Amino acid sequence: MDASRASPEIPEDIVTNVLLNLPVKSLLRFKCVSRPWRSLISQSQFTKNHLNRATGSNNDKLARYGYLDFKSHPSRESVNFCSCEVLSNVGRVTKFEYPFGSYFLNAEILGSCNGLLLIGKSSETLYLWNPSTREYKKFSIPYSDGARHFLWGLGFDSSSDDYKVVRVVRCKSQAPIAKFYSVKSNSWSDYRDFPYRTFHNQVGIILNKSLHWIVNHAKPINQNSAMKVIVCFDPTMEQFDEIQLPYWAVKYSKIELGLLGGSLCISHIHDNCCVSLWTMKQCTVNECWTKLFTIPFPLGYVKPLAYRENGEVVMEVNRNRLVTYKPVDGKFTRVLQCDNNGGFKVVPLGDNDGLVQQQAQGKRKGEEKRLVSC
Amino acid sequence: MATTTTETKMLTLCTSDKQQFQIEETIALQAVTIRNMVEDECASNVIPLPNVNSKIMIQIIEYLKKHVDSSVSKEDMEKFDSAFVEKKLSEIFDIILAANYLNIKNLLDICCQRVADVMKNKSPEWVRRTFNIVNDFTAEEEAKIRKEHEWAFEGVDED
Repeated sequence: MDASRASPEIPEDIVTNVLLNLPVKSLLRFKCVSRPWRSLISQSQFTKNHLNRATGSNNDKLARYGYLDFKSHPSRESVNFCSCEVLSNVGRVTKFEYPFGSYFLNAEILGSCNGLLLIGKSSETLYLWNPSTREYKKFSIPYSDGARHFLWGLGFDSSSDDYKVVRVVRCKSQAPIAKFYSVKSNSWSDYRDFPYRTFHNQVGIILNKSLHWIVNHAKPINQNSAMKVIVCFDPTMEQFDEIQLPYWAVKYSKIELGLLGGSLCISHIHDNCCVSLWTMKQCTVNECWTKLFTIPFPLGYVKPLAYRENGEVVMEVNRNRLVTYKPVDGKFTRVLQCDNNGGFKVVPLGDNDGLVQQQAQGKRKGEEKRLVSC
Repeated sequence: MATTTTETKMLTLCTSDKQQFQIEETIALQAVTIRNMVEDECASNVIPLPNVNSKIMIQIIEYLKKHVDSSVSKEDMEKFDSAFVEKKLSEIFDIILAANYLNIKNLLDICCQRVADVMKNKSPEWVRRTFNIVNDFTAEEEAKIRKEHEWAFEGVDED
């Protein structure tokens, strides 16, 4: 390209338009171009616009899912964080530097929102991490006296421009309690009652800014079965609410929550013969659940993730692989296999990489690395 | 797709170098600035475009003619767009300024995307030269900012 010929004076809004089309790495590099460029790239409004930039017709729509990859290192000596694209360039994996390396090996992804990840072990330190900018913030869990964690989530409260961590724990035989962490104020809330029982570890699914999990009602229907319900958390109001499952589903144990086409979606295995997927449309009075399709064999645990343009459904199967499934002809295509010793979990990373900060001084590792100068 | 009516309304555009271009009104009206001028009836016969020269105007008309044609498929339009922006960067900047003045959003967007694609792996020095930007950091300040994201300087193109 001809770099020699300088451009005429470029208006600021055009510079902004150009910069919005750049990946995070380039933007971080161009912070040193000039003071006006640095302040533009650092503005929170720019960060928001960049994150939500339209993936225009000539851009690839990414829809990326992130996961921790222990596969190549069964002894968990090393971890990679990877993203996998599922809409265009299906199966393309990008590796990110995992800054918590050798001293944070059996960590899990506990939440994901706007490209920011919540990483932690069950009862120690937590990290908020943006893999694209490589910035992270460390904070600690207030106590860990034998409490077991069940529900986690990371949400964004747009009214206060704050990220919030949700954590539901149960101490011994006591009822579960919830605590929220505000990233902006760097503090945990008081305990709140959480009148449900949880049956396995879950990371909240974000829809319309609220986090969603499947739980059991505290009061069982009878001795053998508990009623299931979707509980959702509004990060702005800091309140829990309920969404009813279809009547036939409340007693199923093998039921999973996912997202499909902008709606909540559940999958359940019935009678060990097939898997059905249902989606929820918000109706005026009640939630209406509509059956999408049935996979005619007991595939196992299925978590629906996304629709592709050709009608294929992207889903996580048995916590070890990503596949696409075409309901019309029943055809499966494997996107990604990741055995991970059972620790495979994908979280949505959105369509774009972003500059989102943790709103506190991010620390950077890897200072020892010398730059390859340009 | 051309209409067979004899009443195809034409507009005359006059560029900064006094060249006149006669084009169909439907093609020209994709430029919001021209549409506003026509709607406000402040331009009767000849529309003066003092910020656009004839060399750039020819290219913009080529773009507008393609984009007015509703029979072109989405894929073909994308192919056209990506071929259209295969130009020298200095030319792209001229088209950007004209598209900005004429208010042709798609054209502006594909050109901004093109600039971003070219500069993605470039050095800050290249960017300063290309955008006519004076480095207003001291050497110490710049070194400090570079150090904050050292890894972002890996794999940068040779200037």
